[in-house]
Order: sequence, then C-alpha cells, then structure tokens
Amino acid sequence: MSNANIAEKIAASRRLLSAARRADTAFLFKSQMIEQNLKNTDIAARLGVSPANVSRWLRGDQNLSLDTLHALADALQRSLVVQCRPVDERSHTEDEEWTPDPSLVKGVIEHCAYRHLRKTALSAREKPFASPTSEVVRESNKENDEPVAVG
Amino acid sequence: MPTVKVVTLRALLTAAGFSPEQISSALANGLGGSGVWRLCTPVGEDDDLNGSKLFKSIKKYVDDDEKRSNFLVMLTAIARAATQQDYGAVLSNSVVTAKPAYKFNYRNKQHTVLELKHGKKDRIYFYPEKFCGLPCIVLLLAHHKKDQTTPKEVTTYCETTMKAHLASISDVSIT
Repeated sequence: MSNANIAEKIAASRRLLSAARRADTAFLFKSQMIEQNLKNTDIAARLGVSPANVSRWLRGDQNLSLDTLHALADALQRSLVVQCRPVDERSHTEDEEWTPDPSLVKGVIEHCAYRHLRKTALSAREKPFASPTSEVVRESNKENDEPVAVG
Repeated sequence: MPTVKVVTLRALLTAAGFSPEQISSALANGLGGSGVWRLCTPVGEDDDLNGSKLFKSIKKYVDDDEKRSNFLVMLTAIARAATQQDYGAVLSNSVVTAKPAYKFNYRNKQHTVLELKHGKKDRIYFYPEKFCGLPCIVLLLAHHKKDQTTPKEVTTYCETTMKAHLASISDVSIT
C-alpha cells in the first residue's frame, strides 16, 4: 500500500476515532479513580494542580499531553503503557466472555434455582395426580444432578 | 417471553458501518472487556441482532462520519461505565451526558428511559435493569434528533418494551 493510500485511511480514521480516543482515555482514568475511591481533589492534591484542571482533563474532550497522561497515572499509582500492535489484531480483552462480579454469583444461582422450582411447581400443579413437591425435587435433580432443598 | 441478547461493541460498530480495521483500532485499549453491567438489547423470537430495533435504528440514523464519531464516543462511554457498579459516576462531568429522556408510570411506579448524549442531536436510549439477578444495560434505540423533543416513535417503543419486561421480569431470558 502506498503512503498516499495510508494517508487517506489515516485521515478517515481520524475523523471517526479521535473524539472516542480522547474520551476513552479519560473514562479509563475515571474508572480507576472510582475503584480506588479517589476524587478529583485527591488527584489535584497529589499533582499540585487545581481540581478544576483535573476535572477538565477528565471530561474526555481534551488532547492530553504525554506528560499529563503519565502524571495522572502516577497520581493513581499506576503505570501508563503505550503499545503498538498490528491494526488487524484483536485486543485480548475484546469480546471476552462476560464474568460477573463474584458477589453477584450466589444471588444469581439462588434466583435461577427459585425460578426453576417455581416453574416446575406450577406445571406440576396442572397435573392433578402428581405430588408437586416430589415432582419438583425429581425435576430439579434431573437437571442439576444435585439435591435441591424445597420449602 | 421477552428476550434480551448480549451485544458486543464489535457488532454495534459493524452495524454502524465501521470497517474491521477501524473497530480494532477503536477497541485496542481494552475497551469491550468484562464489566459489572452487561450491554444487551431486546431481540425477537428469531434471536437475530440484525432484526432488532436497535440495530435497525443504528443502520437508519448512524449514517455519516460525524454521527459515527458521536456514536462511537457514546459507546465508549457506556462500555467504560459498565465496568463499574456505579456507572453514572464514570459519566458524570464528562463529554457524554446520561440523563432522563422520558418518564412513564406503570403499576404505581415511575420508570425512566435514559439517554446518552454526545453532539447536539445524536442519542442512544437505554435503561438499566437486573434480569435473573444479572445487571444489564438495555440499549433500546439509536437516534438522530431533528428537534429538542424526544420523538413519539422513540417514546412509544421504549415504553412498550420496558413495560413488556417489567410485566414479567423473572421470565425475561438472556441469550
């Protein structure tokens, strides 16, 4: 591909991607701040700048300098990593299978087990001569291969 | 039975007409990985994302470079926000605003359709909900507004869809 062709592609991509790239960087820092329970005032105090400055940097529409990016990473006690990859290579995190917050898993399992039991109990109720409770236990064991407590 | 389907950023951006190279470049910084909230959208019985209202609205309204750029910024914002329990905190004081677009009453409770806004006219409508205990951000429609009011076609679809989910929330399945 000639330089002229590549230049054309870069110009097209810049129109589409530059705003999102700026925003993404800011959102990435904000997410880190939330995880560390840090406010703009904390970052400002750590960097010796005004909170208004930090707020402007993190709005997502600024073309932040490398010095500012490194300063923000330093304030978060993180390293800033710059990588160059082939453009057609997928990011390792992209489309990765969604994994829930571990604290949610227990609730989800309980909720789904309840839904399954409720549905089976309702269908058992429609069969006049079946015992709903035994039906529920049998059905549940069939799928889960584990005893399920009822009531 | 209502069904919502998990959507990837790659699928959404493809529907908006981004090339595979542009998508890879947009997602290169680890965007679109796992999070607390799942991005999903309602689908019909055929389970086909391309037949969903969201994908049809993307193809209809995200049709030039300026709209694509705005759409990507909004998706970037919601995908990063989805990594945090308090997704609103990521979006606060940012270039993308998330605010109520439309409210309606259902079963003695007020419900809100939210909108992501970037640029004067480009929007993504959504609402957060838990299905089977899983936190989901349900993307409803993309839109390019003509004036300040939220159009009837948007409010009608969003209200109908949310009511269908709320009516049988424990029966909504995720695929």
